[in-house]
Amino acid sequence: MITEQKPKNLPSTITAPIKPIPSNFKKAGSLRRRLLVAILPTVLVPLAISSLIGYIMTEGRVKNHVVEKLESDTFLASKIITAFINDSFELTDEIAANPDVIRGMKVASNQVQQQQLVQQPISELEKEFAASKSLATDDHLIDHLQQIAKSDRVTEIFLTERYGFNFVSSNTTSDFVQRDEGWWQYTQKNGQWFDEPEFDESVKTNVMGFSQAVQDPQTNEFLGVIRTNITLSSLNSELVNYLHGENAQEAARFQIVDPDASFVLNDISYRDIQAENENGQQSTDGDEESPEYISEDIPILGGEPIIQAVKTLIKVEDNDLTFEALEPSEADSFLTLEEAQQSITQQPGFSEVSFHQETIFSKNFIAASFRYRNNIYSLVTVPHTDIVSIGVINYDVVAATGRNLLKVAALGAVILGIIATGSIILLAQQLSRPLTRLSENTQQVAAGNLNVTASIEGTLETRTLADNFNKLVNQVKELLQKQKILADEQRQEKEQLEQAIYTLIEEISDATEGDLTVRANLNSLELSTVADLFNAIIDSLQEIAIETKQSTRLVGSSLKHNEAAIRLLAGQAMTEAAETQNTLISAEEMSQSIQAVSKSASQAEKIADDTYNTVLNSTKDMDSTVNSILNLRTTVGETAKKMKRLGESSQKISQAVFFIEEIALKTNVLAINASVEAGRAGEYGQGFTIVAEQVGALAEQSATATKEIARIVATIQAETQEVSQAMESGTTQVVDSTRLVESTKQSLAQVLQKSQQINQLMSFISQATGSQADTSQNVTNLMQKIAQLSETTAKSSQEIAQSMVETAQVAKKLESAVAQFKVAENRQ
Amino acid sequence: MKTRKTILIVDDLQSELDWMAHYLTNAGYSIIMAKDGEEAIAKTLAKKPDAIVTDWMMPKMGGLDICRKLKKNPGTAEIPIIACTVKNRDVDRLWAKKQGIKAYITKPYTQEELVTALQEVMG
Repeated sequence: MITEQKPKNLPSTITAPIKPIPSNFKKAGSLRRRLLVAILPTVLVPLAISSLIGYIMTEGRVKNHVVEKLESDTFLASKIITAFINDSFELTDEIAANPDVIRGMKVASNQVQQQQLVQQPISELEKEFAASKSLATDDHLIDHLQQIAKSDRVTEIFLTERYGFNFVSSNTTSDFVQRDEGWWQYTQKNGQWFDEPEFDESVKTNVMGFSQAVQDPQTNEFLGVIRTNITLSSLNSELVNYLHGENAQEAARFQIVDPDASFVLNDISYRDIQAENENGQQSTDGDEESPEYISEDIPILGGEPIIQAVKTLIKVEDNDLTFEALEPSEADSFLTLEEAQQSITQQPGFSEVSFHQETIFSKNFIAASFRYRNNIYSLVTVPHTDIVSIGVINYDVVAATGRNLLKVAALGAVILGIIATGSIILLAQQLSRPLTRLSENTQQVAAGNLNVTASIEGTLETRTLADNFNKLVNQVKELLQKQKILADEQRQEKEQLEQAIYTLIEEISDATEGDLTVRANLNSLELSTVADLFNAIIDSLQEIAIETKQSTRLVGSSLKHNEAAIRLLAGQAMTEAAETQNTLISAEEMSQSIQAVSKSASQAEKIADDTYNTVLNSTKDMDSTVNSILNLRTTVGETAKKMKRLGESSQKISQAVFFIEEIALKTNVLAINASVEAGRAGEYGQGFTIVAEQVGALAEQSATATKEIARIVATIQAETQEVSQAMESGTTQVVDSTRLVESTKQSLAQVLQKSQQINQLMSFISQATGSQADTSQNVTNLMQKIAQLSETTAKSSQEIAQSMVETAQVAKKLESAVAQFKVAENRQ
Repeated sequence: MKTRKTILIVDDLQSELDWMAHYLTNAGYSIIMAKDGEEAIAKTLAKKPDAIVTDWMMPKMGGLDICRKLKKNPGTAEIPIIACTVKNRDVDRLWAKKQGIKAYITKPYTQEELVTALQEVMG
């Protein structure tokens, strides 16, 4: 039976409290902050760097610009001067083109030729024409010239004919004859000429004289010279006007110099220009308030080194140098552009030298710029003249311009930085807001609230993210639902299975107590295989139990049946063993006595043998004894004979000794006689006396020895007598002994015979007892083995009996153990 | 040559027996039916069928019990036995094969499945 259970741990909606963001996440920082931290430096740093680079580049450029401006202004000054000169010559050209002038000149020349004025000395001519200072008075021409001279520029105009005599002038000239003047000669030679500027007392201003030769248009014949004096005030005005452009440099100062004369033609500084402007505004009447520019007193800026530079510059070769600088001595020392540049570069204290040449309307302007002491100088030549424009500016001014720029650049960078920061913060805010919201939604979902819907906003990515997030949440919801259903199913299955297991346990638990009749039901689909497995095992067990029961029963009964028989058998075996043991002891004892008999027989044989040998030896001894006795009889006989002869020899020795005794006596007498005689002989017989005495001694000794010998011989004779008697009795005894020995010998021969017989008998006995002893030993050994065997048998039968008893006990135990198994009744 | 093969079919449900009998008769077999294990064994010993088709899950004696019993008897050990059951897991098939079942068909089955299995086990 399956009890339906409600799911416990699956609430329909999961509502866990929202967990705060973990602290280690907070360390990571929000997206907004990260964006700011990441982007701000990447924007601000390059901005700062680019500002710096821009500043540095611009600073350089501004400095260059200042210098370039100076150069171009200086160049402008040179161009203005050139234009001024050209304008002036245009005026003279205009006059020269006038037919009245040409005609007037021809007329004047005719007058000179007619009056032969050329031949007259100049001083006289001056005196002659002192009033008019002119050849003729052509009123029409004078009017014309005076008309021209009325302009601001022109102070004086006069014309000379071909021989240098004035023939018409706007004002009264100082000289009548101009032929001897340098400018006239140069003009006649070159066609054009202008003088160095000079202060004209008559008009109280600086003027420059421009001269032009007049030629007959048809014949190109030299007709005369036109001379105009032009004030420099117009030039000054022009210079001031132009150099005071919109971009005028406040600190720049310009000078127009003629180095030959160390002459400053003009000196214009910004202040002057300002002053000029003010003047121009205040005195519109053209009142003569213009400053006196030309002055020998004004020093050339920078002093001698600059004058040297200027001189170098004007020496640069100019094909067309036609004016007053052209002097023979200087013509040789022209320099090329490179030589001039080298020369200026080598000047002490000069730096940053640059050199260039510009050609405008086939006029070469040579420009040089360099730094000397704290100033930057720009020099530009005026073509065809030795006039040079100088522009000067203080280097501090240039640097100050750069510094001003720094302020501007810094301010610009700061403003840009603030704008960039602001927009980045705004951007970060906009970018991070949707993500932050989405992140909050994610947190809620993570906490278990699946009813969250993310709002779709922000960029495409965040919109996609939010949309996908919503889809994901929905999918998770669906999955959870499916999961729940699946879990329910699984739980039910599990419960069914558990129930089936309970049932199975219930059915089969009796098997643990030995009940093999139990059976597992096969009605559960899941567990029927296990149940079948169990049934198979139980069946096998049951079969085994039944067989065991039957076997133990059989063993028990058969043991009971055989026990008595086995016990009897064991008893018999033991008795048999004991009897065998006794028999063995008897056999051993018998064997021992047989051995003793054998030993005794052997000893008897030996003794008999010894006896026989002894008798044999005795017979031999007896034979030798008989022989010895016989030999003794012979020896005794012979000895008796020898004794007789010894007696006889002793008697002869006694007779010999008597003779020797007598001799010794006589010798002694002789010796006494001899000594008496020697005494008489006196001294001479003394030796002889000694000898006689000696002889006497000897005789005495001989007598003594002889007596001894007589006594020994007497002894020998007595003893010989005794021996002879003993011999007599010995011989008798030997004869008796010989008879006795003979009879003994015969007895011994009989003994020997008997002994031999005994010996043989004993030998037989000994042999017989020996073989008996061997046989008896074998019997004993056999009996021993039998005894061992019967003992083993007895032991084994005892053990068998014991084992039978134990087996019976085991069988009983087994029977009782198997009896615990309960098996089907019909199968037993 | 034997004219018709005899099949012993065993199931505790009469309806199942009827179905199977219907199929097998259609296929030309002659049928012996048994409603439990004891009867199946008795009929096997008595009639020596050519094959046995038995349900597994039956009260008292199951299909595999019948199989084991017949395998122990030399006279019936060679008769092929087919299990026909609702049990349909690999472990069931494995155990059945270990116990000597020659073929295994699962309920519900078609006539073709049954006949194919029978033809296979009878060679």
